[in-house]
Amino acid sequence: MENEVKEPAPKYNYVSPEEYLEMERSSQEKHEYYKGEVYLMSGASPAHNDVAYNINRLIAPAVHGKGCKLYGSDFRIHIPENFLFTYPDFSIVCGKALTSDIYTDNLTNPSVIIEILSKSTKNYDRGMKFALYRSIKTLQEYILIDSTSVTVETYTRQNDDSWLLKEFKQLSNSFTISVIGVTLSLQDIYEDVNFD
Amino acid sequence: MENEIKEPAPKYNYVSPDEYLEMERASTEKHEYYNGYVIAMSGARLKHNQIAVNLYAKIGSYLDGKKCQVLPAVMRVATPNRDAYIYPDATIVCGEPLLEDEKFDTLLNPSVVFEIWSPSTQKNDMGYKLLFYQHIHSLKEYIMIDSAKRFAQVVRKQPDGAWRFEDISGTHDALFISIVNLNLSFDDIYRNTGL
Repeated sequence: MENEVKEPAPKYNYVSPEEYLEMERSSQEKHEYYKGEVYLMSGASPAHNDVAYNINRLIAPAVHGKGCKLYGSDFRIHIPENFLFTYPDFSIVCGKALTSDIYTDNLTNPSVIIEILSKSTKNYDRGMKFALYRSIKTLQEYILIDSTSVTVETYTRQNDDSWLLKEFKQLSNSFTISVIGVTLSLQDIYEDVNFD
Repeated sequence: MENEIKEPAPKYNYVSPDEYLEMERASTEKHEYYNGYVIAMSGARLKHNQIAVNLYAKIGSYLDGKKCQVLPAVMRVATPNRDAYIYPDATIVCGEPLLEDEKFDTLLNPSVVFEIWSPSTQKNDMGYKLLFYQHIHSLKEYIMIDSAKRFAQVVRKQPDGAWRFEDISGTHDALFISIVNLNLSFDDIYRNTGL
């Protein structure tokens, strides 16, 4: 059938975390690391950047008085439970930012992670990546903001460690990031954002 | 970097749902359909098949005489917009099964779908497949079962339309299918697999 899509078999030499970090620290581009494999993280589209700009200007001032900080996509995080190294679009850390004992330039205790979805990352950010992020014991909220349509999904950790997903699709909708007590409207998040 | 893995851009000519169904009904192999893409399904390994059989046996005998029934992996399921056609590893349908057309081979109203992870399918089962399953109005639970270790992920629709994600590791010993009020033990799910 003409349109069959087959997964390519990756050429595979195991890369250790130490090798990854050594390459990464002097690399111009960002790469994610998982289970011995290194994945190039692609650059962001205009819409992705527009959404990021809005998140920054809406949230950064709001966290300031609450003992929390908003970090952007340059802060690499590490999850010791599953050995992932990656760069979320935004992390919110409350209290002291803890870094890994062994890999000292990697954050381990975000309370909130925000990812901006593009067409190519949606599958992973919603699925496997979210599963890996759930291992972060301090993580309370995971927020996905689509850069291709007006859609926000919030995933909130419950008392029994299950996660509740709520979806928002109207510009008039608002959602609250409880960790920092900030309510955002989709109107604000998508202001001046032109979808590609 | 030597090990960079980049997704290839697939050569893409949009296939319509009707074109897909025509090809699929004449095909000896199974393919799934997602938004104009046709994806071949590869064969399943032993543990995957053992888990499937365990599901059919336990759920099948439990549902005997009840208003829900379990269907095997050859039952195709469709989304309301016809943007996905999927073969879940197992399906539970309650009440009258609704079928797409007079070929009677495509189900529209599953209540529970199961996918058994293999290393090559896990990522997509958790990713775009979840998204398409969430579009099916009748769907209440999507249960994913790992074939590499004792682990399951359940995504359940809540009364208010929210979805609850649960990670069930081996220590929990069982997963609960609330629609049919059945507690499925990990011992039953993983019988014969050595896991």
